[in-house]
Amino acid sequence: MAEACPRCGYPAVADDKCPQCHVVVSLYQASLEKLRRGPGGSRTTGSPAGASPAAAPEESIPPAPDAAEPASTPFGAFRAPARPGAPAAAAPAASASAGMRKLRFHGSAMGLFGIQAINALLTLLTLGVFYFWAKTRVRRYVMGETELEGDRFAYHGTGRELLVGFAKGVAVFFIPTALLTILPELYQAPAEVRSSLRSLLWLVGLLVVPVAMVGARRYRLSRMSWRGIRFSFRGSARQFVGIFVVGTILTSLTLGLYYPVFVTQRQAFMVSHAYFGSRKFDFDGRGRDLMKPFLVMILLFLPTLGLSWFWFAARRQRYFTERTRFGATRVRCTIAGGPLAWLTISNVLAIVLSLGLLWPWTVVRSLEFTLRYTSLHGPLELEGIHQDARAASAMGEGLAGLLDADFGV
Amino acid sequence: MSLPQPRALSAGQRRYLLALALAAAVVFFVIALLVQLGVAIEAEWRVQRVAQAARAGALETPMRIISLLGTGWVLLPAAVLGGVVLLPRHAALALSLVAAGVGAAGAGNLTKLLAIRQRPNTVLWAYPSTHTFGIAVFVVLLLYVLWALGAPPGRRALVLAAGAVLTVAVGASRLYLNAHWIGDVLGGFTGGLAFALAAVLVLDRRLRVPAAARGEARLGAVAG
Repeated sequence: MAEACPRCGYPAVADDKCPQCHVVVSLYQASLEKLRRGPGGSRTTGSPAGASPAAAPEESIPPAPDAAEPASTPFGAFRAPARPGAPAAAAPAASASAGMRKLRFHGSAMGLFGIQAINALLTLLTLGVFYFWAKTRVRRYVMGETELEGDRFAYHGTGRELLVGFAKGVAVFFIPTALLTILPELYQAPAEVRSSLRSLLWLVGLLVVPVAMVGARRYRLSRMSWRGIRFSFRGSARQFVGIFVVGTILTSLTLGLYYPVFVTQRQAFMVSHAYFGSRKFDFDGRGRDLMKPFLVMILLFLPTLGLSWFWFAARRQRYFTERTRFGATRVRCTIAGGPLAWLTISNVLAIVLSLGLLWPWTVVRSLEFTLRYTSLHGPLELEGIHQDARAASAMGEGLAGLLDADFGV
Repeated sequence: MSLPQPRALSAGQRRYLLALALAAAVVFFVIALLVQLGVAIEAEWRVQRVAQAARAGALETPMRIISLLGTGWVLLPAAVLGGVVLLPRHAALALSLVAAGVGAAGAGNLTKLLAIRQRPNTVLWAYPSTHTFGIAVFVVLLLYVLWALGAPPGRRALVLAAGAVLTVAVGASRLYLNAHWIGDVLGGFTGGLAFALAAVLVLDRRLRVPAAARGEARLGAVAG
């Protein structure tokens, strides 16, 4: 029997796919239920029973498409209410029909500033312990304000996980490193021993950085979801250590000329081992494609006082984005060097001149900038995707925090 | 001719209201903590399931209208209208009430920064429900005004009953429309109650000092 679409309200959905907003009804309902389960869903590992997209929950919630909340920010609660009956998915449906989809960021600098103000206060009051919860709150905000096809992303990580990950990172990496650094000095070990230990620490650092990068990526993706379907990362740390060590050595030996190949290999690893539910992302970039822009950047580096880097960075970002696929969906990016240079320089100036107070503004601005120039093309084809979440510890994230590096992963 | 001043709270009443406000504030923060930690998500999910199972075409519009009653689009004009009615006879009370209404709007939004979580419909800023927060503040302040101006107990009881029904209805409409979890609604109610009672205490303190005395004090300060 034909039923109304739970998302846009289209009156008669004959099969499982809505002709108006193109949502797959059973998948939508199943994923919304999983989303509503909140952090509890993180306990799920592997492919749970009934995870098939066709396996709609027995008591699925009609998602009330037009109950979309007009009061979406704490500083905009008294906006005009949504027109009763107006389908919340109208805009996404229109973009879907045009074959192009845009990610949208609904957040505001004021909202993030408010969160940061409370974070700073509580971090001070708890002598820094709240830092991990503060980090989680910011991530929740950023994810929760990012929308694709009418639905927000969600972040399921917790402050406790980050705290435990940090503690493990301290125990496994920081304490041994500190001991190996301090003890030889304390006991005035021979110069050869100290020199050997320094080399050993450098080697350990070279190994730990890629492990932390993979761990952070694995953790963050495992805690992200869209329409209740989790992302995951399934790359092996050992494989990435190989790429990283070889890439670092070759980049040093070639005085940086190997860099385009190295970053492309890193990107390929990070993207091609990422999954949304049961479907993986693909990356088909080659390092040599970035070689020419890289050489041009080097040649122009001094004459342009370093500004040529931004044109290369924009080119790299366009290349990486356009070489990323998700099923039949291609990602496009049109970022240009000029706007990227302006964004970066003005962000740095804003943070320095405001003594950090404008940090939320720069974050929101950067996100909006990236999303403005990024779009998805082609059908999303969500039909075959089912929940396939993977467990991940936050230790890599803790190591990344210890190394004071975000890695941008 | 001098108009009768609004009634002032006794010391016992003030202590009772202060205790109630503090208790409501504590409950509000405890719920915020539970919400942030996701402790009660399974229970909230069960309530949500019951609320969504009750959805029917005939109820959609009434629920939207009830929900609208908890927004600033209705409550702030209502507060301003009440202020205009009171203004000729009780200017201080009228202005304080409007200020409390505007303050409630600001406070309701600011409290959303406490817990970052998504609503059932995935939109952010779930906790607390500002609709429930707003209607709770409105009802409590209305009851206070009626009491302060000496309205008969029967009329106050009627308003109390209607206000309680309205508050519950607005909360239920937020669940029904899938816009909030039950924790958000309870948080909105307790937060609104705490704010309104605090506002009542401030209003009462302000109103118990005669306007003339305040004027004299100001003059004295200027002269001194």
